[in-house]
This record gives sequence, C-alpha cells and structure tokens, in this order.
Amino acid sequence: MQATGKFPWARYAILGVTCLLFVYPLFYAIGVGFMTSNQFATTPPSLIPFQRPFSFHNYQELLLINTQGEPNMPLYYINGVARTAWYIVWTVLISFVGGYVFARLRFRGKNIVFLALLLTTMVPPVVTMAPTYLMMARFPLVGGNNILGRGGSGFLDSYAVLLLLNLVNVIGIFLVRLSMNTFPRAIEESGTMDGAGIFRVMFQLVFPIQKPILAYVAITTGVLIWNDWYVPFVFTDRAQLQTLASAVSRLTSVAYGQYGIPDWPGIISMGLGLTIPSVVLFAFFQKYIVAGLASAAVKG
Amino acid sequence: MKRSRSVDKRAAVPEAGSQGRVLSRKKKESRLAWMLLGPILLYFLLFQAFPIVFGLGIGFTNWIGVTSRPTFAGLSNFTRFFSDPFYLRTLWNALYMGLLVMFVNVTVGFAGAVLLNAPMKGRTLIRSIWYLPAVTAPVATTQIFLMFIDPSSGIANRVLELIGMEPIAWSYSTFWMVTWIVIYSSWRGIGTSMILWLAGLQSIDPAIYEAADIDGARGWQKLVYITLPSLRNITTFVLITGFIGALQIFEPVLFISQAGPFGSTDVIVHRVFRDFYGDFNFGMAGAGATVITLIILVFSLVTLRWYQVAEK
Repeated sequence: MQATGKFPWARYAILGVTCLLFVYPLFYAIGVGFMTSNQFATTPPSLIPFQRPFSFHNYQELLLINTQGEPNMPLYYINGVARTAWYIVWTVLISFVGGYVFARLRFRGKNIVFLALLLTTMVPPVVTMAPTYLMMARFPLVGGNNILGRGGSGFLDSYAVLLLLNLVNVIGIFLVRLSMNTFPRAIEESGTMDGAGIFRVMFQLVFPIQKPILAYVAITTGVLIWNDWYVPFVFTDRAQLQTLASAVSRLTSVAYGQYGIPDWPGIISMGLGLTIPSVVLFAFFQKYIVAGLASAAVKG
Repeated sequence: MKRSRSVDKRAAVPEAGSQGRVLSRKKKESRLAWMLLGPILLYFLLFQAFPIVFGLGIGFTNWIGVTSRPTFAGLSNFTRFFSDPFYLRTLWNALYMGLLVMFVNVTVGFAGAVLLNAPMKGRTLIRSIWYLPAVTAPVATTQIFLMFIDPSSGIANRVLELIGMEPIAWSYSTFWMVTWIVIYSSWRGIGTSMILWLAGLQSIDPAIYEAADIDGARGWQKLVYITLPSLRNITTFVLITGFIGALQIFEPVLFISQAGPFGSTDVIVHRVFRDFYGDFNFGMAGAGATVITLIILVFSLVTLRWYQVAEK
C-alpha cells in the first residue's frame, strides 16, 4: 500500500469529523422526532436536539401503535412494501433472463437489439415525465377511456399505475451480461450433459452463482422504489394509494406551497420511517453495493 | 473475457459434427432467445421506448391540457425556449449548480478515497458512513436540511447567533439557496464518488508503488506519475456520469428551494416538471426535455464508447 501512514491520527481525525458531518442530520432528525410540533416551535434549537419532556407520539405513529393522526399509515407501509417487492422481483428476473440471453444465446439481431436497449439508457428520464403522464391518463380502454383514450382517467389514480412503469432495468441486463462473460460455460455444459433443460440450467446452476450482481440490482432497485415519491405523487390522488415516500412528499411545501408553517417533527419522523429501512438494508448488504458500484466503473 | 472466448471455441468443436444438426440447433437457440426476450421487449417497447419517442415528439406540438387535441407547432416551442430568458436561465442554473455539486463530490470523494486507501481499523465502517446518505430518500432528507434553515426554529441561524452573527433569511437569498442545494447534494453524493475512486485506487497494482519507493519517489510524485494516470478510466467514468447527473439536478431544487427566491434557482428538469404537472403545457415540457436530451446525448455517446471498451 501507499506510504501514507505517516500521520495515522490526523487521518482518523479527518475521517472522524467527516463521518460526524454525514451522520449529524440523521442524528438531529431522531432527536426532533421526540418532540411535539409545539415544543419544536417554542424551544430554541440546540445542537443536541434531545429535550425533555420526550414525546413518543411521532414514533408511536410510525410503529403503528397509535395512528390516530394518520389513519392511513398502515396502508402507506403496505403499499410501499408491496411496490418495492414487486419491482425487485420483476427487475431481478428480467435482468437475469435478459442478461443470460444476450450473453449466451445466438440469434439474429442480437447486437442491434442490445445496442438499442443501451441507447435508451442515454436518454435522460426527464424526457418520459410528460409523455408517461399523458399515456397513463389516456390509455385506451382503461379506467373509463374509450378506444381513443378519451372520457375517463385511464390508469391515473389506480393501483395499477404504481406497478406498471419502468420494470425493465437495462443497466441490470447489461451488468448480468457483463458478469456472465467471465463465467465459464463449462458449468452450464456439464448441466446440459446431465440432461437438464435450459430453465434448470439457468435457474439452478447459473442463478445462484450470479447472486452478487443480482443482489446489487435487487438492492438498488429496492432502495430506488422505496424512496420513490414521484410516481404515487404525480399519478395518484387518493390517500389510500400513497406509499410512505409519497405520504412524506404530501406533507412538504411542494404540496402545500412555500409559506405555510410545516409540522417539522411530523415530517421528519415520517421521513425517518422511510430512511431507517434503507439504512438497515444497506448495512446488511453493503458489500454487494460496494462491489456492484465498483464493477460498473472499474471494468475497463 | 479472453478466457471465456477460448472456452467458446472449444465448445463449438463437437457441434461441427454434422451440418444439419448445427443448423437446427441454431434455429432452436434463436427461437428460444426470442421466446425469452419477446415479452420483455414487448413490454419495454410499449412502456419505456414509446414514451421516449413520444417525449421527443411532443416538443413540436401545441398541447395544453390532458384531453385537448394537439396541433403541430413546428419549432415554435424551441424558439420560445431559446428566446425566453427564464428558460435559458434554467439551463445555466442547472449547469453551474450541477458543476458545483460535481466539483465538490469529485474532489472530496477523491480525498476521502486517498485517506481510506490503506489498511486501517474501522475502514469498512467509515466507508459505509460516507456512503450512508446516498441510500436515504431525498424527499425525507431534504426536509431535514430545510428544517435546519427554518428562520426561527432552525439550527443554522442558532449557530450564527451563538458565534455572534446576525441571523440570515436563507430562503430569500439566491446565494444561500444555491449553497444549501450544493451542501445537500454533496452530503448525499460524496459517498458514491468516494467508493468509485476507492475502487479505482485499489485496482492499481501495489508493486508499482513499491518499485517507485525503491527508486526513491516522493509522495506527490507517486500521485502525479502513478496514481492519476492509472485512474484515467475511472476519471472518465466519474466525470461523464457526474456531468450527466449534474445537469439533471431536480429533487434538491424541488424540495429545498422550490426554484426560489423568485425562480432564481430554477433548473431545467424542475421547469419541465412544472410545465407539464403545474401548467399541463406538454409542448413546452417536451421542448425542454428535448433540449436537455440533445446536450446529454453528446456526452453519453462518449459513455457508450466507454462501455464498449469495458466489454472488450
């Protein structure tokens, strides 16, 4: 390793201070969660925001012990978890099958299809914002729409819209293909010789060995969808269709305008309900995330 | 990759037995591929590719309101985009705020990677903490920063008060809103950049440094003559993806400044969002989206080349 070990204490000091800076906002948020909004507004702020008397109301709401203030709270969790699980399953499956097909099977047009898929990843997501909205609103023969997409509301304000968009992750397909390229064919061939069909080879032999890259795809998708406020916020209106993320977004000034007085402890503690699962998930799977990020960048 | 290709050749040998069998097998393989890929591509075409084509097309229409009938508008949306100072300003804002964020992420991330690129206790933990903000939800963590700059009950003004300075009306100052957007985006983005740099640093063969040590190279010489040249690939990756991401800065602006004060921190993606979601002006939203796409496409083609290099 490099001879940079001359000042180990300086290094620890710098890294320690930066770690504090990274954690401090979350630490502060936890403290604010123990306040009532009145308490937050009337006591002068302190760098260590834990002030007696502690109020457990926000966290009780978050843990579904007392949801009087937000009766739809259980639904927010259910919708958020259902949506996240749905997207993880489909994204992993599609990335695996797609990556495998592109890596192993020979067929006409393979390279051009793959290139076309990769090209779509160069288009910034902002392009599809407005058209997706139009498409969901005017999807023919859905939600009261006629064949021309008029008369009803299409997929807007329906559960389907939470599960319908962006199930194919091209980068996931790309990463699986890349990882298959360094995977010896001999294993699959021995499987075929033992009489296993293609699906058994794929799912019983290859899938377990591709777990690290698929885990990376699963975690990044999971965090992305769990954190996604945009789709429920834009495409649905009913409170019962909101996820935890969009429920938070509906408490922010984006929904209520800039000049209201926000209920900080309420927003912040609900945001913690959103943040803590991601953080816990990350803590468990961080080695896959680090390896996946690195493999996306270092190969070359 | 070379290894798998040689395996490939060996595998092809038994197939060469009879011409007929090879052909039918090829056919079978192709049918299987399309059977597996078909449903995926069909879904992709309808729900992901069509909106892209659609999105690049609606910029050429007058389309206000979801149910109204669009009319062809030629380039009028684009001429409006480039003659309206508010639209041009959103491009400029995205560029300079994005580049500021990128600069902080890249430099601080690099410094962190260099500090962490040595065996030390707690390295994994420190790396995790640096990356931690990246997995948090922007909608939630922007609110924490927004709470910090609350004029009366925020900690930022309290700190100013403690060191004897006047409180600041943060949300009425363009300078401070830009600063807080950069602070938030860096808080969330430095970790990713650090992990990428660290992966690059660790892919450098330590023997090169040892050889340099024997030749009596100094620390900075090793940095300039070994570390930086070895990181060329990762530098390209970090800069290109960083630039593309920077131009699309959206959530921090939406949740922290809401383009304020008076639209002075508006950025292009936020403007597109407002055009279609606030005003239902799909034509202008399409024009804005197309402009940013053209800019990004130029840079992305470089990335595509990079991916191709990566695959070889």
